[in-house]
Parts: sequence; structure tokens; C-alpha cells
Amino acid sequence: MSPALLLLAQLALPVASASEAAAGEAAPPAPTETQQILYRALTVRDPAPDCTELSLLSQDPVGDLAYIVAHADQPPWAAMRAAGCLLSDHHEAARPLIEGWLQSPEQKGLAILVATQLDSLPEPVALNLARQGLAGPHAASLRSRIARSERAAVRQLAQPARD
Amino acid sequence: MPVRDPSPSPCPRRPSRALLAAALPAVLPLLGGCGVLGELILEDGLTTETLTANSDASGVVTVQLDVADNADSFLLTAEGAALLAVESVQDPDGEEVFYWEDWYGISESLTYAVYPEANDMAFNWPVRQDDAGLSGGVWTVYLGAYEASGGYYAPVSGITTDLTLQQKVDGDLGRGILAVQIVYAEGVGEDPEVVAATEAAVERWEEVWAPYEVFLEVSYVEDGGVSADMAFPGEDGVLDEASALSGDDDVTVVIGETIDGGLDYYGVAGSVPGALVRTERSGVVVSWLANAGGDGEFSDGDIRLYGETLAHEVGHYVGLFHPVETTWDMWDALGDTEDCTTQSACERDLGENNMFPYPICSWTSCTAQDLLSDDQIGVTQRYTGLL
Repeated sequence: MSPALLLLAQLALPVASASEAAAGEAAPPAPTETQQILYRALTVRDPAPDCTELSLLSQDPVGDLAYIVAHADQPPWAAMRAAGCLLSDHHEAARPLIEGWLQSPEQKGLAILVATQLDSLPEPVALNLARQGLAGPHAASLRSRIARSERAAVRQLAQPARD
Repeated sequence: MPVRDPSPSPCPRRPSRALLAAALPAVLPLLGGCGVLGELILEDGLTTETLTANSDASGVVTVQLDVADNADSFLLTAEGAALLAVESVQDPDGEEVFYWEDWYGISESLTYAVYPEANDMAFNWPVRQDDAGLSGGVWTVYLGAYEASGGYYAPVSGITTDLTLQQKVDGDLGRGILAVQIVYAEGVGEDPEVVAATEAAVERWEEVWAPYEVFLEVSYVEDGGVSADMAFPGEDGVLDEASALSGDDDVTVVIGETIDGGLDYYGVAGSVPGALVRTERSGVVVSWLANAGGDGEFSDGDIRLYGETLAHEVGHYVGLFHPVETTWDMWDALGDTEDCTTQSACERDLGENNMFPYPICSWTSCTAQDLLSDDQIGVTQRYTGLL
């Protein structure tokens, strides 16, 4: 683990609960200490923390990273980086979650992230996610990105259907 | 208002006005057509001159710069087929004002130019307001050309190095304008939401810098022809290509979708400081997607952070380091940014500083980071591209 990450783990300060800013809405569960440590590590501007090192900080990396994706509104890159780690390191365990991003009208940024990462995923996974993306609410945004895939089979999914 | 790019005198009367490198024949073409030698007068603005020189048997490239009497700073950019770094700098009296080892691998950072990490290098002098100002005359800069060899840097002889000397005459180091060209990567400039958010973020960036009399002159390129999945600076030519779209007096900022295939990097400056002319690392790359977050839309908070991050990354490019790194044992070389040693103390003392390594956030909001210290402004104002 990098010295910076170790220090973050050791010295992480309490941060305000997400519920503080959600007046009038059902309060989400308060972040655990581990989630706060991961969140803080993900806020760094440069350089970004390593996904593998982040996962080592948690007993439940998928659950903790998913919590950050769902509840870290600011800075915007914290949730996106957490999502990136789920895609790169936990795409099997987080499959329902990732598929949910492709179907949710409110998660266009996450859907685009998935489309940009298809070439780094195993081909069957990439094909499945590409199909789901093209059938979801963000198809118009995803099509051109899927069409840029390095994999012919994935690219082909984005081609217009023939009569 | 300062004048940009004044035309140099059509007939410089002194050959050493430009770079006088070791190879004299290379200087001669600069005199072409002029029969009378003498001083060239720099007016407000920036001059750019180029030359080539070879590394000697010790791997040293000796560069002599004729600095104008009224120049405020110079920026030397070098590019060649070796890892390049600055070794030392001598003023016209032969006094050494900069030596690499004083700033190499220590706990304070002044310039990345001491690290032979790429085939290009940019060195701005002076860096700080505490550094002695320029005096007119011939300055000598020694560069080292290296290759990485078994954990060591071995000097390389006979390396042809392309050199660019830029000098600025500002007349007022208390205020300045930085020209910035924002280049949208392929397809990004066609998204009206991203374009609108970027323009709003630039307004926030202007808000951050304007109280310190640092202003922006921004132009946009809708499609820079570079891939939206941007390479890390120095790899794949993305910045080389994008910076070629602009002149030699502005900083290139490329807005793309991802950096190095993902969102590990949210914004990256090519170097500290960075070059104004075209090189592999000339500019800053920023991911719009990381800035927009999971919903892919820019909230007011997203735009504020986007603007502060543009200010932060370009702050690196004009010469600023983080006031403290997140190991809490490395700092910038400035006297008025606290050398704090714990996370809590650093967040307390520097958390609102725009160059702090991360924003202070509480899941749903972040504290504004719009402060810069006097010494940080001093560095910014001495960047040769700030006119």
C-alpha cells in the first residue's frame, strides 16, 4: 500500500454524514469508517489511488465502493473512480449494479463510463454490457462510444440493423 | 494591456540576442540578411527563438542565452532523443544561481526540470519572487542528456537538442494575462452540455485567479482531432497534436472523456512548469466525465469544482506545486505556505488553497478552494507565458 494511502487510512478524519444535506429525504445509512477512508482517498485530485490498494482497505470492497457510487455526490470524481474500480476489479460481483447503471435514466455518467471501459473487460462481459446499454435509456449516448471499441464483435453491436 | 508577440527587430545587431549554443554555425542563420550587429530591444510581450545544439562527450548541452536588459523571465524548452534535465544556471557574472542537486529528491519541490524523466523539458527562471531577478547579458544554462540504465542515468553524447528560448518583458509583475486554448477532443465539443459546463467552469477559474490580478484570455477549438480517450501527457502524442493547434504563447488545455483509458486521472498537467511551444507534454488534459459525476450532468457544485480544478492543473503548469503532498512530508519551496506535517493541520491551514491536493468535501458538498498565497502568485507572475 502506498504511504499516502496508509496515512489516509490512519489519519482519516470524520466527515459529515451524507444525511446532513438530504433534508426532507429519507436519510441514507451513515458511512462506515471504512467507507469514509475510501471516500477520502478517492477525492484526491492527483495522483489517483490504486483500485487494488483501495480494495485492500475494505472487508467488503464491492459494498463499500457501491456505497460511495450511490452517496458521494461531491466531488464528482469520487463516485466515478469508485465505479471505475468496481468495473476493473469487481465486475463479476458487481454485475447487477453495473447493469443497473445502464438501465437508470439518472446515471448517464456511469453508463458512459461503462461504455468507455468495454475494451478492458472480458469479451463476454463487454458484449453483455454493450447490449444492455444499447437497449437502455442512454443508447443514443452510448452508441458512438461502443462503435469505437477495439473489438469487432462489440463494435458490430452499434451498427444500424439491416433490413 | 500588455502586447503579445511583438515583432522582433528585423535586424538584430548582436548575434547573441538569440540562443548561442555551443555550435556556432547554428547561430549564424539567425543573422541572415543583417549587416549591422547590435542590441535588439524587447518591448512588452514575448519573444520566441529557436536553435539546435548537441550534447558533448559528458552529455552536457551548453546553452547561452542573451537575456534582454528589461526581460522579467525566460522559459527554456528543450527536446531531443534523450532524457533531458537542467543541471545548472549561471548569471552573466558567472555566478551559479541554480544547481540541480539543491532541488533533486529533497522534501521541497521547485521545478520538475531537474528530473530527467522525458525527452522534453521546460525550465522557467526565475521561479520565485525570492529568486534574484534577471539581469541583462549572457546567461548560461547547462542541460544534461541522459538515458536510463540499470537504475541510473547515464550521460549521452551527441544528442541533438531542439531548444526554444522565450523571454517576456512584462513591466508589471503584479498583474498578467495567461492565454489559454481549450481544445475539445473528438466528439466532446459536439456535446452542448459539456461545452456550456466548460465555459461556466472557465468563469469560475477566472473568479479564482482574478483577485490576484491574474487574468485569462481563452479561445476554444471545437474539435481538436485528438481521441476522447486521452493518453497520459508524454504518451501517444495527444498534447503534441493539440498544442500544434495554437501559437507559441498560450497554454493548451484538452477536454476529453477519459485519461489513460479510465478515470484514475481527472486532470493532469504535462509538467511543472510546462512549455508554451509544441512538445509531447505541452498542456493539460482534463476529463469532462470525471467532472460530471455519475449522473453525467453538471450541477452547480460540479461546475465550481471543475473550474477550481482547471485553475489547479494550470496552476501546476505555470509552476506551482502542491503546498504539501498527501504524505505530509513533502512541500513546495515557498515560504508562506505552511509546512504542515499532519492531515488535520494541513487541512486546517491549507484546505482552502487552490493547490491543495484534494478538495475538502463532506459527501454532498466541498469547501471552496480559491485562495493562493503571495508566494504562489509570485511564481505564477514569473511564468514566462503570463504577460
